[in-house]
Amino acid sequence: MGVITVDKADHLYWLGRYSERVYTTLKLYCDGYDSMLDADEDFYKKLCVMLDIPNIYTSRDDFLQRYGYDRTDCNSIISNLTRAYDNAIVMRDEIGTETLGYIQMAVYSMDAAAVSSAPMILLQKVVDHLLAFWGCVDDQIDGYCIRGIMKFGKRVERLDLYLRFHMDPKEVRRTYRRMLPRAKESQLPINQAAMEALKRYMEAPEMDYEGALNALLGILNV
Amino acid sequence: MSELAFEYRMHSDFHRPIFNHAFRLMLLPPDTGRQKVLHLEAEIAPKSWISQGQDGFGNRYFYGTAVEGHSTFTACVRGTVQTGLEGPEDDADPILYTIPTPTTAPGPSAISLYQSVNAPDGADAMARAECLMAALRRNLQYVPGVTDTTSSSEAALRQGSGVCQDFTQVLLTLCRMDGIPARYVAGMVIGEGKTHAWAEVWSDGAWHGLDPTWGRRVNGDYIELCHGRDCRDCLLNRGVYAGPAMENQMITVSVKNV
Amino acid sequence: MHDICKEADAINEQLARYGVKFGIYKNGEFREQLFPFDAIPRIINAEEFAYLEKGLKQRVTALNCFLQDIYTDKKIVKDGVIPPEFAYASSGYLPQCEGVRAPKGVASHISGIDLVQAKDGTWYILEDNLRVPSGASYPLIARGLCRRASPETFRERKIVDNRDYAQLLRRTMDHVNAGGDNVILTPGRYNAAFFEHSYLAELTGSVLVTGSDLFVEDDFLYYNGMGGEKRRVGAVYRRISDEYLDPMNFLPESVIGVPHIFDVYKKGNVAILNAPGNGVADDKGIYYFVPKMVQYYLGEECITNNAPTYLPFYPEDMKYVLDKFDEIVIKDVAEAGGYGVVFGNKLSKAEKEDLINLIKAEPRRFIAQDVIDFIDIDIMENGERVPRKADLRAFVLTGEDVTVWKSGLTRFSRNPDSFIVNSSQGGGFKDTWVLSR
Repeated sequence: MGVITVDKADHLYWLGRYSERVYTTLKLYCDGYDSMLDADEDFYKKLCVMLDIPNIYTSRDDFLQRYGYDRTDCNSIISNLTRAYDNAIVMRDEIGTETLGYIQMAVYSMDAAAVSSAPMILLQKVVDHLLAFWGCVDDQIDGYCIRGIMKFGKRVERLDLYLRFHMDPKEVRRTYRRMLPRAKESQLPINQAAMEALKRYMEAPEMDYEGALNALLGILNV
Repeated sequence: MSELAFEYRMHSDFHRPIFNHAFRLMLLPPDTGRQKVLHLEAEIAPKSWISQGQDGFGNRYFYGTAVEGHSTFTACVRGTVQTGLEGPEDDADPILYTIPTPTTAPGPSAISLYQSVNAPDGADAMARAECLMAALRRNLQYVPGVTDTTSSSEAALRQGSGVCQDFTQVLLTLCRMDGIPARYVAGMVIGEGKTHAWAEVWSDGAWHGLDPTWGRRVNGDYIELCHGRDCRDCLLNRGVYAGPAMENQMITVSVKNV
Repeated sequence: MHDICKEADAINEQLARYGVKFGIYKNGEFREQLFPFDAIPRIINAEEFAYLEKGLKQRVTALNCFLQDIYTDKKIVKDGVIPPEFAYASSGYLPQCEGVRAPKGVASHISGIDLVQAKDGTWYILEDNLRVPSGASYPLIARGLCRRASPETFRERKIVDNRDYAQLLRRTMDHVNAGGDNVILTPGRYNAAFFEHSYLAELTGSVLVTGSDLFVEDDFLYYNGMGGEKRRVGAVYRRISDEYLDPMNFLPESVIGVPHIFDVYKKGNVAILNAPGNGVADDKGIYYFVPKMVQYYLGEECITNNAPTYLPFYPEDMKYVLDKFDEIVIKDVAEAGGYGVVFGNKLSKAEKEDLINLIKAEPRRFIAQDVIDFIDIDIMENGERVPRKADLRAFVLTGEDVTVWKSGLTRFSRNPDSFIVNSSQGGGFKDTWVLSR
């Protein structure tokens, strides 16, 4: 494969970010689903705060339906999965039909979960497809830079989410360290000042989540 | 035979900078049986890569792209041309110019006008075309601003008004209905200050110019820039660019006897 | 013998997995739809295919001669074989291409020839598609999935493998490549055939691009890589139509094209597949003249059969059309995709009168054909075999030599009363098997 165009790099980066967003929020959603069964019916309100999305939901069931499957709710998991799909479908020639198939199947399983009486079982399939997708990326994509961009997107997204979740600093730093080599591999134009700032936040004894998140947002020169 | 000096100047202002500005300027007068270019110079700004091409009718043009951001664009072409010659015909195939195009296809107005004309039987194509020209001039008034480059001859005839482009296209429609090959010519004429259009009809194995706007035969006062089947084939300048900007374009032409 | 139909669901599931879809606009909204696959194949035996192969090669060779001639010497018009009206008034005729000789004499690199088989077994050509014929990707991907779902079938039958299409296409591009990368130019994601564009780019190792990725500089075509490095393009397999290809030379309003690409092509610095201007040869009116072209350019009898066709342009044909109006099908030359096709006997009295007046007013705009009694092909519907109308699009690739792909796209109408098998009108597709003996 030759060099890729700027638009394509953009699609790969966001394919990485959105598929990771679906993967991580889906786990959160499933945990929340479980606690809202009997432990804390209003847990979704805390989830909205954690996810940093407006609480537009009227009840637990409303949240479970709309945040999961409503394509008109721009924060929903299906909306993010659709964005991953939109970025993937235009990259068939680079990532390959086999790899693309897993994103496609994740969409089918998500839609099937929406109307199922046992949604958790089908959501497990969505997770399976996403994991297989990343396995396929590792196994089948030769282009070092193509894979690098996608994985950089994935790591940036995870760090972004963990900072929003105020995750344990140890876990945040680990995620940060896993992102670093991907930044180089991606060959994307990295903003060195933002990178330095992020490094200082990560090395500080106290985790400043907002400060780190702001530094992360400026990490790419556009 | 005359010798004419001309200058064509196009100037565009954009209210905000644009970039990747691709342009095509059909401003290279050809050597034909009726004219010969003696001297030509062109300036195009801002800095761009520029090349020359030729279209399917044999017209030559400049084209290129100004990549960097700019908010003005100017093209100036100057030259001297010998006109009013009676040299051998350029390698032209009249077959293309016998077929109506979307903007010159006859409609009800053209059909009824054509049927009202009594062109002398047995006359040569040029004489018949002059009859047709006289008839259309009785049915068309010169009114600027009522048509654009996509207007058809039928629309102009129906409303009874138009500019040189419409006069020419109506004449093409009528000639082709009469079986006479006829083509559109865009160019310049002494004393107009802007570009002009007229028709050429194929008669006796050569092209002969007829200017239906002025109702006369084309003479040494005219310089051809390009020809085609209709107005759409002869757009003198084309441009596309990136950036949301409004364009204000000024074109000035001067043609003088040397 | 193993029955592949039992695996139809599994095959369709696989097709869904890989996103084998086409896009349509419904009520102004873009939607992707799965292209329904029917597992009963169309089977063409070796002898029959050998005949088709010979005929299609001859036909496409003559059409390429015509395309070269019509934009340069025009001998066929000057010699009175084709009236000038039919060549130059066709909407597919592009005066911009006057004088342009396609590189290496190939204008139609990828030709899609639509055929139907009559009940007596005779194959008839329905139309030639020489601009941007689509559809090869569907039987191509389906074959691999059928082999996966029903391996026994392919062990028992001697079916010629059709999975070489991408190599054929790649060779066709390489043959005319003027130096640089091969690219596939798509109008974008929201085009009906986007699946095909992206899939063929993947399989041929071409770069999938949109118009805005490409640019011309100093008479060469390039695209920009990620780090801003320029890569030269040597061949463009474009999947956008002529009018939109280059706003500097064709429709000035086009926003999906590449400014100056046509000038660069004329200077020989990039190849465009298929060549601009090919519409003049696949016009429904020009179709009538294809057997005459074969005779004129090759000095051979035309092997393929045209459906009996009448041009109301000729007075004797006009008389036939009026006499037999209820037995013929009328086609509007300007329409495509199964639109503008009217069966004389399906019209009300008033509609019939209107159409006859229109034909009299614009005879050049219409052709008429005898209705051919097609062989129906069985499809599975709710577990039952039912007969449906179907056609075959054969793909002929012209590079160093002329190759007929040993497969094709068989499309069928799901509506039992419809003769129209176009996918944009809700049809499905089948695999086409060519047997090796």
